[in-house]
Amino acid sequence: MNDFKGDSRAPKYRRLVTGLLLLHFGMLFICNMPPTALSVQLDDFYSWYLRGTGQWQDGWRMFERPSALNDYYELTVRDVRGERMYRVRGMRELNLIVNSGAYNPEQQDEVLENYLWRKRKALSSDPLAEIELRRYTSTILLEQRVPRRHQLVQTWVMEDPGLR
Amino acid sequence: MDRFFYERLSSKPLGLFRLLWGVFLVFYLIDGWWVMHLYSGAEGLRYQGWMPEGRYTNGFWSLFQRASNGSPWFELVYGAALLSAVAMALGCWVRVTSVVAWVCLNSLITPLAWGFAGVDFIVSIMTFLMMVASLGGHSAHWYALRRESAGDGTAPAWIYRVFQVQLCFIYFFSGLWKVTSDVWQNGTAMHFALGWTASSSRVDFSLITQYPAVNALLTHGVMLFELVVFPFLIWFAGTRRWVLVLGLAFHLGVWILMDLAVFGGVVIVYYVCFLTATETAMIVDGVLNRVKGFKEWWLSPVGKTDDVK
Repeated sequence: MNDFKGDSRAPKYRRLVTGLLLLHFGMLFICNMPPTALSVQLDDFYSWYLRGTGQWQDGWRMFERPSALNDYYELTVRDVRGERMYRVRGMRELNLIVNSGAYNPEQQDEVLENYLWRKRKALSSDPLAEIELRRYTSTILLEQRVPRRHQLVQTWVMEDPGLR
Repeated sequence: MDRFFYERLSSKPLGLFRLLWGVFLVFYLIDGWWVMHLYSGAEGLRYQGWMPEGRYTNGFWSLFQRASNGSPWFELVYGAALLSAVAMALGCWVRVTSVVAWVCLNSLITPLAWGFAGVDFIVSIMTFLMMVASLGGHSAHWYALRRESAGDGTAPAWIYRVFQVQLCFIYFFSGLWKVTSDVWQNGTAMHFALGWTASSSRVDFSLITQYPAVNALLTHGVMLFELVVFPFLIWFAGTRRWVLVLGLAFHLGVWILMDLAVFGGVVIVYYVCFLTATETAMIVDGVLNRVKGFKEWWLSPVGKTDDVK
């Protein structure tokens, strides 16, 4: 990409750096490959390095299988100012809500309660405010021509925020 | 191989990359404050015993591992990360700030389980590579944008290569996993992505879903770009600029469609690693000229401007 000007460093240093770089790229390559009998065997040898340095990556599977659900989440705040509604739009926020039950479905309510407690503080200064999260869903079909109606399927309420 | 890793390249792109990376980190930290606080701040999830298995085992670590609820650790670590990002953007103590940024950001990102996004992967990876590059390379190149006299104005190519190869891996493996999925194979994946009109979509493009041929073209176009166009054609001088422009359009499209501003932002910052010294100088000079023009317009007395005459 630029004019070549050689590095004057000693060959021994260059060989060492080259070896380390190739090792690094090799580990990244194996880590990202779809798992095979061989790559699973090799995992123990290099995963400590990738995890410890924050380099762990397992294939960049974003949108590998796009969801067929056209969901949305709505927050309702009720306080002295009345009732207000907000649609959750941030990808990270949606990710948190959608995946909160992924590891352990029994924890979902507790995780969302903590989330709602923070949202209540952010959206209302009234300590007695009530906040509610509603999930609406509709399915995307391949043959659909008109968007399907959304249906309310789940609600999480935080009525008594407590002292916290 | 020797040329690939050790030719001396101008450090101008690296200087711009360092500046933009610092600015991006400030944006990233402000944008992600709430989720980091949700886990590691006061009354955070990690103090409630709700952390999923494996977040602190198998080599993953965080400064919050031994922190207790109510301790000022979160504010300290978050503040240090923010300061290191600002220092990185300004080019101050780059070696020290790159280490601080890696330790603090790794600590803030590791606990994220639910709410973890692809951009967190990239930030975690980049902070480490930035640290390796600044510790292993010559410090002078980090200031090259403004202070070329601090060194010979060049840096060894391997500093660029660690970033470049990593980005190619991201595209390639993202494409590889898509190839194994039936909706990407049969050209219907974009039908579903364009159908997410209720929450993540900024603009409603669902009309396109009524044209299966267009959906298939978009689906296979994305796959082709990720699997072949970027990871391979970026290395050839004749195609490099076209690939960068295409990538820029691709991420702007994703940003418009899905509100992935932070993810798109980090990838576009990443593209600076693929620029030449001339291209970098053109961008920097262009921005500086605009700033200079604005400054002159702003400071000019109202009565003496052409508009008033």
